[in-house]
Amino acid sequence: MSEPLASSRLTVLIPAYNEGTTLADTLRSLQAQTLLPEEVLVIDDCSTDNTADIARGFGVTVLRPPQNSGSKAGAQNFAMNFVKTEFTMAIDADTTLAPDAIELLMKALDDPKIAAACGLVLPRFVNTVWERGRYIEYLFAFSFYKPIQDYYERPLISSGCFSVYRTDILRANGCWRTRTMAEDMDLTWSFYAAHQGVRFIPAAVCYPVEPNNYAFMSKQLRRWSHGFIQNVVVHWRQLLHIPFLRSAVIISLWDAIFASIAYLFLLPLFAIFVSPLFLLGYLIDAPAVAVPVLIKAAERGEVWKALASLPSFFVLRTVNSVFMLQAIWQEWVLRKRLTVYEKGH
Amino acid sequence: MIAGIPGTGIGGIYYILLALLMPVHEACLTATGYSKGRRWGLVGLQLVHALGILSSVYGMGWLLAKGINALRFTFLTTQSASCVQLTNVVAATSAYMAILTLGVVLLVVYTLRLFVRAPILLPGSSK
Repeated sequence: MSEPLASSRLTVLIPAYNEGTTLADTLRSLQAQTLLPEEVLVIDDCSTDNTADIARGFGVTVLRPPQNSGSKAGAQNFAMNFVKTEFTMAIDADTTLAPDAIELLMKALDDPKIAAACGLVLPRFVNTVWERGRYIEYLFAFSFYKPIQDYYERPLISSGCFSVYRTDILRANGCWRTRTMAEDMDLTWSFYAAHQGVRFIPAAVCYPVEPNNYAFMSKQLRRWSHGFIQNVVVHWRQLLHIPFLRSAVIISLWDAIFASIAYLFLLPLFAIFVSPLFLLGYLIDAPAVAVPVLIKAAERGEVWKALASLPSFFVLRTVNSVFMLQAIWQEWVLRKRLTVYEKGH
Repeated sequence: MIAGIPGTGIGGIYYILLALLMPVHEACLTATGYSKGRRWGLVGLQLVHALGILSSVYGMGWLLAKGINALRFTFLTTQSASCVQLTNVVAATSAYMAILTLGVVLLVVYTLRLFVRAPILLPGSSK
């Protein structure tokens, strides 16, 4: 095996709040990279567990803000004062990387027009109904939607759990804004508004720990759904002038509203008052979802895992619909913005 | 991370149409010298995805129509012929409605951009 290369141009940021159980795996996967970063900064966001001790045990730099920053974005912004390299990478403290992930992702930034790049995301553990649902959701989205978005040069989000950025452009865009609950979406759309490019590199794979129970999942879904709506509110004027992104966002918004209403209200009502056959509406697109999922699963040798997980996708999708409608109702009708960042991933 | 409800609604149709458009788009880029050979691999894969999805949806619709009609035939023998037509009409109408909705939504957003000015970007600001 060849010696790993060292990149003097890259700093990795790992925001961590009480991540003692997962941080070691993340740091271990960083040490096993084919391209090693110049520096790894773990931002111990005033944890009450042994997060900082674990980080120090790996010989990385540990930063500790004077008080809890309140969000992942806040912790990352704090660390930006210490970044001296040309490129900055953000990785979640519960995310491990495939050994060549950094090397592959960095290649995208050879193109000077590209400000950020993100990789393929797959759950590290696939056991509970929630993890299985998420596994299918990711296989579907990252094998069908996201490559198409990338082909048209507008990936919807450079995922916050594993992305690399040009440091100067990141700073010029105000780093990670705390005005929405989805700082990665906010940053990606800001890049597009400033005529900068973002790439999706499917060969660069990362494995976050996904919520394994409803309590954990609900916090994440609440944050993501509110984050999406908040970003539409913040960026809508700019979005209208960004080709492809405007269509992708309006269609996502349409589906978030109307597909959710159909899922939660129309189908049950029609099933009760017209015909029980309308219940088939919940599963009618199952083969359509299965095609990209099984193609990707076959490529990874995970066909049985994907088949066993497929039913969980429909459970997660129904729950997702509830959180989407709730977010739209609270943000737009009640004008009650979600401002507290609850850790859910 | 995923906006909207994946797999359902007009989003699915939108991405299928985009995937079907990719070979045409890529051919135009190739003709003008802007395409790189490796992009055709992605184009081909997404085309396979899109055609696979369309085939599976058609197959599912066909299977459902057969199943529903078989059930109806069992219980309502006299109405079986009209039921076959009914399910076909419902399936076709749903597809046309979804495509029409997608067209209207896209038209609205394209029209809206003519009337809404983009805000001027200041350094460090995206709003």
